[in-house]
Amino acid sequence: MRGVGSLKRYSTFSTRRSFLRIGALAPWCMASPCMASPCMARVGDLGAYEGTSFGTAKSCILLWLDGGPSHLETFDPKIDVPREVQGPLGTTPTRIPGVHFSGELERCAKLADEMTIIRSMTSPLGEHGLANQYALSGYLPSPNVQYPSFGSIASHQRALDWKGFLGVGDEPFWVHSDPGSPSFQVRDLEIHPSLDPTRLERRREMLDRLQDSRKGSGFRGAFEWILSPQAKRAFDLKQESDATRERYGLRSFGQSCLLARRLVEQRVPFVTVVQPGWDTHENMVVPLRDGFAGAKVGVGLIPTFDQAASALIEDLRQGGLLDETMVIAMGEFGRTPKVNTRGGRDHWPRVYSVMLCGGGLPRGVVYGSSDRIGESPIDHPTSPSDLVHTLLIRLGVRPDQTLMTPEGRPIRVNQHGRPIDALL
Amino acid sequence: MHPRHLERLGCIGWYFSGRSLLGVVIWLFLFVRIFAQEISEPSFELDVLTLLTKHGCNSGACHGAVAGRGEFYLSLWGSNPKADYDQIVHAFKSRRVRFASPEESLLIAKPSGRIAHEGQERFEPDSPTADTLIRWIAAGAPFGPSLRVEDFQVSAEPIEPSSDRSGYRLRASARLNGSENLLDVSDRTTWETEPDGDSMGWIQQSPPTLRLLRPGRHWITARFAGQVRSLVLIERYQDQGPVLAGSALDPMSWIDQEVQDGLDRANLKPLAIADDLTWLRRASLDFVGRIPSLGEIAEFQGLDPSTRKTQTVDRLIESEAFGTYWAYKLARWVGFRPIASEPQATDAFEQYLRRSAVERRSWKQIAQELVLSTGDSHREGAANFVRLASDPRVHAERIGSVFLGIRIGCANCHNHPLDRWTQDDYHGLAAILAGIDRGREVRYIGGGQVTNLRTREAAIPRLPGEEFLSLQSDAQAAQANVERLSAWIFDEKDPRFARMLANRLWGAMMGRGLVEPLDDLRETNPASHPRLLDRLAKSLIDADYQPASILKLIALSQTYARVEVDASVTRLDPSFYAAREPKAMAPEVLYDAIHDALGLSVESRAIGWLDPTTPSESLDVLGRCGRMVGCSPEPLRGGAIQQSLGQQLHWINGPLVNRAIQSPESFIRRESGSGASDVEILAMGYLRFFGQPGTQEELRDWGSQIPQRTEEKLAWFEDWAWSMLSSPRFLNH
Repeated sequence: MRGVGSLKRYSTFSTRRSFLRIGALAPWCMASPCMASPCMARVGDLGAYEGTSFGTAKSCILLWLDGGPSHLETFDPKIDVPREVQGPLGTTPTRIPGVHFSGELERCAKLADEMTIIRSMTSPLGEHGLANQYALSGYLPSPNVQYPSFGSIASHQRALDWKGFLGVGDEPFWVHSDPGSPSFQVRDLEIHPSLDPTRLERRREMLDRLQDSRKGSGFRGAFEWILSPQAKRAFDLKQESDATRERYGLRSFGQSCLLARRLVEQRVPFVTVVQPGWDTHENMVVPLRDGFAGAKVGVGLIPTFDQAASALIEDLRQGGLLDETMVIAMGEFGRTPKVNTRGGRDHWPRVYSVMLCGGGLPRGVVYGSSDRIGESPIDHPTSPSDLVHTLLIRLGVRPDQTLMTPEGRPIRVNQHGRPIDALL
Repeated sequence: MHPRHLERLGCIGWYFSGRSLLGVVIWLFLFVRIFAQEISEPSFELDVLTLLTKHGCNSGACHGAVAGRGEFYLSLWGSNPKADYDQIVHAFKSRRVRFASPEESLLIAKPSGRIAHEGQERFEPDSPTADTLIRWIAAGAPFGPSLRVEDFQVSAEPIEPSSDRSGYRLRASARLNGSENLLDVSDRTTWETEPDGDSMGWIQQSPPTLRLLRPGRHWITARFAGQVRSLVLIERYQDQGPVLAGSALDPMSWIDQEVQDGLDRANLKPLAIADDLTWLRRASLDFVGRIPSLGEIAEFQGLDPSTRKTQTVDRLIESEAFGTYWAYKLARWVGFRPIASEPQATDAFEQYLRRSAVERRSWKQIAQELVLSTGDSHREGAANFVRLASDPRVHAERIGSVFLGIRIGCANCHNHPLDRWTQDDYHGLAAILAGIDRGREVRYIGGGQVTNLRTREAAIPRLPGEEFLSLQSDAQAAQANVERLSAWIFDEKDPRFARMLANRLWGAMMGRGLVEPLDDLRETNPASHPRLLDRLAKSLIDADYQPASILKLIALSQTYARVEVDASVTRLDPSFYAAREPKAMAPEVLYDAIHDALGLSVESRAIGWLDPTTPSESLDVLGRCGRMVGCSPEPLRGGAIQQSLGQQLHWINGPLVNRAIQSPESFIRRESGSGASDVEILAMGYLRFFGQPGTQEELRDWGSQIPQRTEEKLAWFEDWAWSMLSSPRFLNH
């Protein structure tokens, strides 16, 4: 009924494919009796938040690297350290002088001058489920309250003043099928094979005759989705040239990122793309770089991510959307500085990295740093709560707003976080 | 205690209070002396805490949050006075109180707005609250006598109306610390007005006086020193709605009398009684989870109108379908789901529930067996209820919500803010249940423990709100305690189980509980019709807890048979039952109803799948209480299940409805194949989908649109069937 403890880890992530969701990612935020509902958000006076950073990000794409991506193999690799710390992937210089990324993040390295990298994220939680919740809600998990994720709060807030065609309402909409599949289509968005638009129109008209118009038509939103060419186009990846599709990578994650871009172009406020598989305890070179044993060209998580994320950022920049679209790449924690005896790294929440880009955030900034071997933060330690606080401001949500749970328990949108001034 | 504090103490007794044996002796002396003359000495609990509560300082959104605010931590609503005293007087280098100039104490300067306060100004610098706090600090900020509330009563007296809305003076009085007199504590009581701020307006805070701003039912919660009470005030409607007489065939039952009492108090006139076929569809869905078939409609119409409702209810109760449907309701109620990796246990559990409903067993007996059964869970189906909970705390919460309709989980980390449950109650209940081994062989064990989060020690077994039980050192003691618990749950002197069940059954029929939500019975959530709930509970006990008995009473009442709220009528407060609130079908019922309406044969009915994890994409999309999602006890009221975009898309384009409509077995194809006329098909459709004949006008209207060519005609009828199935008249009842 409630409680992450009773919820089997990955029960919603049973697939190995990436997947995309319009709205925020919060697998545990199901109908729990204690979940804080953003539906009851109360907006206070805006006083303190009318800064120039408030609400600069109109849309957000969260690339959720599920399982805990190694900071040492992504945005905080170490040079001149013992081999068991450095790991097998090497480093590559970035556009920011003196800053290196992992050797497998070559494309992202060339875009580093667009990014903000936080290298001093720190949290006490090293268990996936709990760390997930902390990272996404900014609240240390409690057995009694299921805190909403910052994304669901932001999308809700946006839904209030947002009149785009994709009227999603409060319920997040899962794209159940795989954008990487040649036969990709959104479940139930295609008109049923036995029907055609004329017949759907007729059904809608007939239903209108049977409904009390004063109470409004129950299916209006969905009919618009189905019959609007705009929606169909947004989901139709074939509208993109083959070259573009290839640039993102033709598999699930790349195509999901491409779809995310197309949705953001239609003013969808929050899109989550999940890339599962970052929990690399053993022989990590295979999942991280190669993709499968004996691969000649790496098709693992990092190259896949590198390709898709860089294409996404480039396209957003080119389309003039990067200034108002925030791209976030993060997972629930980092991984141990020392490679273990099985060639993997284990959970390490004490320090890890997060990549942020666009939406008005500073460009080409590395905020905070970890120590020589990536074990602890040495300056500007940043908690998930601080990060969420900051992201909320950028997304135009006041962190000091109060939400009510269905049981009438008041909860602040963000409780412990402090704004990261350097990012605002 | 801080040394600086000591120097300023006027009374040595305060210092010794919690410090030494000598202190205790002096204390006792003071105690007796003080309470002989009521509480006249400054008291932290009475003077300070009640006011902090009143001004919201220790609410969950402010310093009462677990994380405190600005490093100032108070217990929620002052449930832990000692800790709060420490925070105010000692913590933060004692800067919160300033003896040299009390009014400059942070405790006063911040909330009165003299120093910037994130929580805004809570009271004026020259308010009675500030005065009281200043006096308390000037007196040395003593803890003073502990507060023991022996009685707490609230009332509301009407005042002379100054406008057309009625006003009330609120009074609270308490008997404290063994005193015989009631002390007026109206100004120390926190009055919370529900459900929202614009339904009531304060005329003045002291003495508390308010005015009701809109007609209908109003709830007020009074909070004083850990006690909560509620008040219900009703503001009359002005000349509400058309007066429509009830049908002569439905005499007022005692249920209707009780409902009428409430309507009279609100000056409401109920809407008319719906026609009998509307009633038939309603009753059929509520008793057996099915829409009436053509045969049943015809049979009903052939019966004597003065007795056909009773006859139909009796027929439904005796039918096989009743057992099937109530097995489903029973399974949802107890939260049945598979026992992981033990199909034998799951089977035994499922068979137990099914058999119990089919054999029309007493629900009290079923519930008792679920609480008490032990043994091999692969044979003893009822023993698996224990196994649904992974640990004693989850089990405690489940017992609370399933058998008592209470949300005791709130008392895990702090005393329940809106009810009488304390942390000791919560952990004490869990401690009782720690004496059960939840393995395949369910049995009692000694030595099971849970930690009481308040004391950080092993919790002592306790009947919630009652007495502590003996420690469970061995299996016998554990068993004895669980048996005590069961006796307490099912005690008929205070029929909490019967009330909970009666409320649920009322909710199942009416779409709204007398207490709403159905699983939230508590001190501050009173029933809309308390006496009706008591009487229903008594009937249930008298009928040996047979749901059918209550269902029948309700089904034959006028209250049940009213017409639905019409959009033309101003929206009424639904808790008066002046009209029928449209009720949506549960996903499983809806799934079956689609097939029944189209006349398709169904191999296995969805309500027959007690296991909510049985794979079905359609049921998932329709929002059943599925694999992970918790669910509300009853389907959404107000109608129409198509809530999310995913559900709507599925309904329009998915296979669920489309496949059913296009089935060669559907009545449309069968009838047009056998030469029925268009109008005949339309007429039959109205009966099948809505349980009612279409009017001449409706049939003519549709008939004029039907295309002539055969293939087009079939497509037209399919589209029409889709729209009928998608309309509120089909989806709601």
